[in-house]
Amino acid sequence: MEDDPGGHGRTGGQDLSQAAFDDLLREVLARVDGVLDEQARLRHLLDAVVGVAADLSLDGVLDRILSAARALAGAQYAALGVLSPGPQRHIRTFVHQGMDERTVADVGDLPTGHGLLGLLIEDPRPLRLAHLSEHPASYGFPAHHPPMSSFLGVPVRIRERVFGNLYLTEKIDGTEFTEHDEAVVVALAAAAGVAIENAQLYQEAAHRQAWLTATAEITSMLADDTSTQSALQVVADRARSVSGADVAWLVLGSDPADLRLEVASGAPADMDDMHHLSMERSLASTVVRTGRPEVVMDVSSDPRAVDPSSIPGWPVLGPVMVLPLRSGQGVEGVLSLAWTKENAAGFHRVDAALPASFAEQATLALQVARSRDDRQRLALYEDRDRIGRDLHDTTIQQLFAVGLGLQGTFNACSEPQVRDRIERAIMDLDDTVKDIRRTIFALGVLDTSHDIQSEVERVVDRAGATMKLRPVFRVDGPLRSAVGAELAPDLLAVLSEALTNVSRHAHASTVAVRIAVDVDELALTVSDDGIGMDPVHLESGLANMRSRARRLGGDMVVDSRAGAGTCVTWTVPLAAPRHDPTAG
Amino acid sequence: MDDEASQPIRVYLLDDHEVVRRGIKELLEEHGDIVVVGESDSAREAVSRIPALRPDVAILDGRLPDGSGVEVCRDVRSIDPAIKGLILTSYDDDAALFAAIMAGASGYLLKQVHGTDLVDGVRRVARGQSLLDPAMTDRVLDRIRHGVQEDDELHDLTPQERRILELVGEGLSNRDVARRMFLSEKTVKNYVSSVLSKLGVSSRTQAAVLAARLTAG
Repeated sequence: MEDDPGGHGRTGGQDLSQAAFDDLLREVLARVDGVLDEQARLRHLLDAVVGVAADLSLDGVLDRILSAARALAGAQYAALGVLSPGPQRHIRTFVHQGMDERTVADVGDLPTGHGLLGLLIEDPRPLRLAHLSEHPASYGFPAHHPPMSSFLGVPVRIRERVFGNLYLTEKIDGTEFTEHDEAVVVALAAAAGVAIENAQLYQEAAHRQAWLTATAEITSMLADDTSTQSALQVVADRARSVSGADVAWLVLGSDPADLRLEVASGAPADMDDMHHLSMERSLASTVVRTGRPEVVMDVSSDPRAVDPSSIPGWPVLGPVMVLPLRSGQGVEGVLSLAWTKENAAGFHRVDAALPASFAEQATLALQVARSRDDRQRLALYEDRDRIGRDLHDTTIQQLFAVGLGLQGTFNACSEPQVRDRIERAIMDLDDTVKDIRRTIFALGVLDTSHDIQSEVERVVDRAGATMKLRPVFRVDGPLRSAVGAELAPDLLAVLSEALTNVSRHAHASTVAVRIAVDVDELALTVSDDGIGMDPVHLESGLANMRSRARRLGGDMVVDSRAGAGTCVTWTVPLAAPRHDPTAG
Repeated sequence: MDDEASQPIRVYLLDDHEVVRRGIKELLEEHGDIVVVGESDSAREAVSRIPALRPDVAILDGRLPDGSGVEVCRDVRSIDPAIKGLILTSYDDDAALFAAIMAGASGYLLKQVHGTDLVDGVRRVARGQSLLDPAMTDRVLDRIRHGVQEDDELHDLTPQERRILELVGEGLSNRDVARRMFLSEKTVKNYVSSVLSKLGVSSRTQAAVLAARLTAG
């Protein structure tokens, strides 16, 4: 085809009249051949352009460009070096075709833009060589690299900017690439530029769309009755899947010195394992302080970052993007996205602006959810307070008044039987009042309360749940004032041990817990109506409780008879408060 | 008591429930050595009437629609320290104990018929005894002083409030606290009110705690 006088596909009419008919016929046939050949190549080119443009994923487009280029120019190998944006124009991504996997593995590192490849980067004009090793810029090949001689390099432009270079080597028939090949590949490169830009725009739009969808999803989810914690998890999950990161996590807190890793996606989030991470010196802390996103290329070696791969189950990570969770009140934490080193290409594909605005939107949504949670809780508390107040202001008063009336009748009555009955009624009323007091207290207990009475309530409630009954629980005297931090652990341990004993062995249908606080003594009584205890069980099961009592200068009395239930009374003296200057 | 037989103990009753006042009055007057010299159902009325009547003992409901017995007690004793106060409460011992200490009262009575001997309590207080156990009072004051870690309520107090609370706990009147801390008596009064509501002596209201947190956040 090199002798084709028609050149670049021109097939205009030429004067054929002087030729002999045979020659003419031959010539025509040859021309037709050439034209056909030429047409075939044009058709190939056209097909290639259409094919290249048909794919909307960038990876797909690049792959198609390489296939088309190889086919059109008849090259053994084809590669496309995508240049990094910015002034340092080195090869960011290198895609290639023609080598089998083994060879690829043997060659090892991909070229970064030295030698001939670099020349084309410096001077983006088509370059065609018969023997690339003879060129002064040639740099030589690494070991195991297959031999390559003929070379054709063409820049791929998107508008005026050079996107990368298309490299073809080893003309299949062993000769060199022709001017014709060059023209076709240049044409292809022009089409490729458009297709790549198209794919990039599409990809960008798709990314933007994906982030927007994720944002909308979180906003709508938080508008429903989702707990803040599970919403946080969704934020991390979506951020990870949309960004293509390997791990995403949220660190919360507005004080740079007091941050906590709240949820993680793509890696186990066992909070116990995370406490040892000193967040004060982390990248998260920097971002919370400055409110600006941070990016590190290698979190494992960057001195500004805490390497999370020390958390059990976490992969070794490379690039990390830390984005502020910004709200009206400032920065409330960070969203971190991280990629493994193998997957660093995924990091390069993410435009930090998108997850950053996602993080901001998510923060707003979380804030709305949190204040809704707070409002709901407030409404609940107000309700409980109202119930407590009603019980206190109305119910107890009335019962007390009735009790006082009965007491008056009792005093005025001389009939022993009636007096007994009145006495019992008064005691029942008093018991009811105590029960109501307990209810009022329970209504006012914050989930986070750690005073001794709340703790005792919790132990009793848990035991009740296990035994599927509601223990009678009564406190007489100022328990919270009397039991300090030194006695509380013993009291709670003994109480739960006593209740465990009842639950395991007693087969009881009623259980009563009573704590009586006197001026100088505290008595805990746990009684049940179960089967009673045999003496052997009794001592082994209760030895620990007894020894606790003895250590505190108290004692324990067990009253148990077969079929008549068990009553354990644990008594300890109340010490005067220690005036320890270091306390508190 | 023999000496006092001729001179009965004078008691004032403050409770917003008429039935409660009637019941207590009946119980107290049964033995003849106690007389109820006045009663009311509002804090405002009590503050003006008690100092005028000068009873030996004022039994004051801890919680009233227009205030608290604790504040009535402080106001009355600021005017006339000879009047002894007894706080009557529906809350549990801890709240009652604290309320009594805050009030500068001689004791508290839980609203239950048994377990609190009303008559005996009034007699003892009239004789000048305190029903509050010094060791228990100490424990409460200790909690205030050291701001026990696990105590959510005391945790919310400012250092200034804590200091005032401590002086109140030592039995100082509003006037004395004001003098010691170079504050006006009115300011001390306001502080005591705010401490009372914070500690939920009148109500352990977590709604208030949360509401405060919401507005602060």
